[in-house]
Amino acid sequence: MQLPKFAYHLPEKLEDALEIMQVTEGEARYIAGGTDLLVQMKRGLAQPATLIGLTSVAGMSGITTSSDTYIGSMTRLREVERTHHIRHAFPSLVDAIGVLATPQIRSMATIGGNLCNASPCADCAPPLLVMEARLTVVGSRGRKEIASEDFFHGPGQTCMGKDEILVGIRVSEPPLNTGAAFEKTGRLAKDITIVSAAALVTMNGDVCQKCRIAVGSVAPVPLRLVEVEKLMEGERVCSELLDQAATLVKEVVSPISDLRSTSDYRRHMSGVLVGSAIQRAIARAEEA
Amino acid sequence: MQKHADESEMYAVIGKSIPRPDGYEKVTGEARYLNDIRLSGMLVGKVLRSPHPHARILQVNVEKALAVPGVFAAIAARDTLRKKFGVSSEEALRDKLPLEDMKTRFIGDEVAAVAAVNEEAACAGLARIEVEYQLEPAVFDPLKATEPGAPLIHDDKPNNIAFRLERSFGDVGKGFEEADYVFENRFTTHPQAHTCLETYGVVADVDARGRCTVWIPTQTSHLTRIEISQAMGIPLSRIRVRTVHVGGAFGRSIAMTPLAPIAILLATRAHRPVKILNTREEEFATTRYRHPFDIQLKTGVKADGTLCARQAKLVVDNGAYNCNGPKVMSASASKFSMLYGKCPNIKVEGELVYTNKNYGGAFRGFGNPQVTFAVESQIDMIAERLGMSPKRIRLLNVLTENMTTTCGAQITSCAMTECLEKASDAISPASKKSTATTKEGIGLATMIHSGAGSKGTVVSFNMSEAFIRMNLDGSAVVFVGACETGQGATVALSQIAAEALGLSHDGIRLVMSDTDATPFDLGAFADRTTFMVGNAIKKAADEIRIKLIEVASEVLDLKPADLAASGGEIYAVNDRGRSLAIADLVPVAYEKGVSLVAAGVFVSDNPRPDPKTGYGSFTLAYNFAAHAAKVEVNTRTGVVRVLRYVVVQDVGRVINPLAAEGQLEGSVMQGLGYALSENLLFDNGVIMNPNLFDYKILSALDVPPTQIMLIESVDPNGPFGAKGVGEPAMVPIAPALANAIYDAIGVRITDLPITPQKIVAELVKREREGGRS
Repeated sequence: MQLPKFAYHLPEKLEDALEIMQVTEGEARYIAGGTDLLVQMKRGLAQPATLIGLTSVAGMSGITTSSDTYIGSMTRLREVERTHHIRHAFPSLVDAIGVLATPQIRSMATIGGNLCNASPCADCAPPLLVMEARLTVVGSRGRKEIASEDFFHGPGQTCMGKDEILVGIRVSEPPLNTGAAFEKTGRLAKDITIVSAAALVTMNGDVCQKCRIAVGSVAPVPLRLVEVEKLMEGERVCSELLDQAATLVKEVVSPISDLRSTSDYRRHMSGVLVGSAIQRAIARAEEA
Repeated sequence: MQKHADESEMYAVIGKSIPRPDGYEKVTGEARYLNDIRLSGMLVGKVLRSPHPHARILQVNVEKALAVPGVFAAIAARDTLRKKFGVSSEEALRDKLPLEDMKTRFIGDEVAAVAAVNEEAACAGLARIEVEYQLEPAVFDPLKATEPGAPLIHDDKPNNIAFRLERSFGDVGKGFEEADYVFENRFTTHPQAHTCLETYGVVADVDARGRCTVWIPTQTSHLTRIEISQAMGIPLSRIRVRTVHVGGAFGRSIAMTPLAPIAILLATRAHRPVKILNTREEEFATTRYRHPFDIQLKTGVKADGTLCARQAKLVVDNGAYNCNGPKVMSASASKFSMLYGKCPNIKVEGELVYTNKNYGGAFRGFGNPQVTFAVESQIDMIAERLGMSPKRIRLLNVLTENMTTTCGAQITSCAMTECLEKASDAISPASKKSTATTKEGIGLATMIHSGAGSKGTVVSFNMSEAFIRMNLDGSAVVFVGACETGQGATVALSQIAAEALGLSHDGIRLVMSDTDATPFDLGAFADRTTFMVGNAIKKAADEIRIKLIEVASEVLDLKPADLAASGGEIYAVNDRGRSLAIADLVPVAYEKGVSLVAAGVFVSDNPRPDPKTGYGSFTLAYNFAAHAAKVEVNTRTGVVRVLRYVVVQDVGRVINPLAAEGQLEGSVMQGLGYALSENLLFDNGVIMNPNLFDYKILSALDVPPTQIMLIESVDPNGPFGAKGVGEPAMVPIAPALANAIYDAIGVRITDLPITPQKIVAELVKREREGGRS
């Protein structure tokens, strides 16, 4: 299978990227690292006549830290996982990127591409969901910030219009006594996610003050599990509570069976992985 | 290596870990593969494949393809001889056409082909070929395919039975009556793809007088030449089969595929060379996978653990065509009969069933991993019931040296007992740990496999021939029809030649595969190259060495019996200082008119198994091994982590420890993949995972620490006592893991591959039933 022919633009300004899309009347596709889109094109699953590369657009790559941390959407995953501040402040994101494909692919793939591809199993999504990241989107009607939980609309679908581009991701520094973790399972050491889970907790002694839970690959979108968060918050953490949480997770997810796994196993594993993620998040909160 | 270490010191080259000469080229990227072949004017060939699992072909029209700019040739069945081919020597078992004319029987079946200046033009050409199909109902499950009223896949094969066999030794009925316990279990296995790094392809070049040169990444250049000749009606002498470096074979490249006749025909029509190279998707869509087996196993055992009756009923999913299917099932029946072959009553029945899927073929192990999974899983179940250790029940029943099995196999060298002892000792039960969610277990499994080839696929004998000629500088060129497919034949055969000639290992250059340049050989399969080709080389080399010694005896004025050859010198045995360089002797010999060319031939002269009863020995030497695995099973996730893997294999004399260990390590990786993750998934005949993304072969991260122990049993018929190495280590891996998992958590998986889903499902079921936790 050969890559079909297409026109390729590599604008350096955001306005130009938006304008090219407008000129092609939305028939073009934006491309970041290309590790998903080019494969889809090779398999004939996407046939855009025009690709607009975003990796050269000024200001869309790199990580800046002031009161918040801002990750340009075109930042390569390898750079994200190797940045000292990210490793220190957002270890759950580093957990997720560390098991996302291979170092070679992570050197091409971008964090924005991983989100905009909107796969239910996108590994960057659960940690960003539990960190309540805000996504900066720029379009012909200006710039706006979107809560990460509002970003995903379905498999391959986001809230963005054709005339919009995700330019960056903003995450707040975690408060004291806070920890987060990400867990996933695949068929072998290197694999696309079968089930994933992220948890963030702020602890007060052994009481869970704040809890955020998200799961991947068990619903049409990477999903926040608000019911489970409510069950945890304000409670003293013990094994009974974790068992209750795992049971509730299994009730609220809606996994499918496919060639990679069965719905039964995914449901079972979503409970197991949420439990492990919470435990590791608590351990990190205690270290913090 | 422990057993005959003293004797190994007698040798200068044998038993030395010499790096493979092809290793450097491969690691540096210098090695040239099929896709690197660029001939002047060469075209790209592409095959139009059936999109339907089962359909009548009403009409094929290639005219419009020929109108596409850049297309030089377009062919369909009417352009071929329509002569069925297949690796069986029996005409009735040949069932495949290079391009199908009446029906297509799986998604991917070859219907038409084009050759064009580039891939784009070739694809455009394919898109213009018009095929009118009439869809037929399809059947995918072998158990359903034999039911009355099932769609008939081959008109001349009622009930879709491609081949049936029944072999009986002793009287199993009587054996079961005498048994204290009878065990009946069912085991099922799945299709595995070879997944060679290099996808398969062909380059064909046909000259103006119709002489064909064909490059194929084949394991059997001479047999493939015969198959091409038969399928195309071209005299054998007008076909030359060559190989370049081969990027993996594992049985994939034993039988000819339709690509060879298609490429030759396209090249003939286009008057230009043609290259066809599978895409990865085509590679999976046409892969001649390891056959899935359904095995009903019934075993009778005495209270003391002695097996007294063994019976297996096999239903083998053939896929759409025979290829190696009948031979795989026969080989499987032989291996079943031989493993625990002391048992006096043995019976095997097998049905090979057509289904509308791509078809099975030869794959490392050749029907043995499937039956060994069943037998070696069940023997642990028997041991547990009898309160015996897995090691003890095996020791009671395994084969030993110098015996004839109930099915007639003559066992010459055999170190199975030693293999079992060493494998069992390698991992201590005391080392097992457990936590609230992880349990460790240890498993054992054994195997027997061919160590010296078998009779050919298209010929009825097992032979190899070698030519050797000397260079003026004292080095030698060895010509063999064997093939290097990455298994290390080059280095092993060089060492055998060097030892016998008295040269150092780098004094040998091997010319392989090319059917114009090399003598006849069956090729690389059934672990035959080291044994068969090694023996042929040794004979030829012995002859040249004797001639060189005779010439040297005249020069040195010593008796030939007092001289020996080693390290490129002929020297006096009693006075190492009196020596002559072979480089100096070659010109002397030529001046005297002494020929320094020699041929050696080796034929497997064992009495062949009776074609009716199957009684007899199909090869001259057998390989034995015992494996031990230590696993950790996570009871919450069902994930199995292999903590350690130990292979103890009886390989006869070790020619090259480094190469042998490499072969066994590779087998472990492929065998673990078979047991745990590799699986071709079909949905109504469509392969759902025709890519490396979803067909999961192990990566370096998944491979456990592996320990290899080579046991030197020294075979009386092998070259320097050697037997084959590379094929068998694949065989007992799945049962070793299944047994280790059972030891860890008490869950017995009888359906391969062993996935976390299956383990969790079993654990959940057990929890519901309130069983052992």
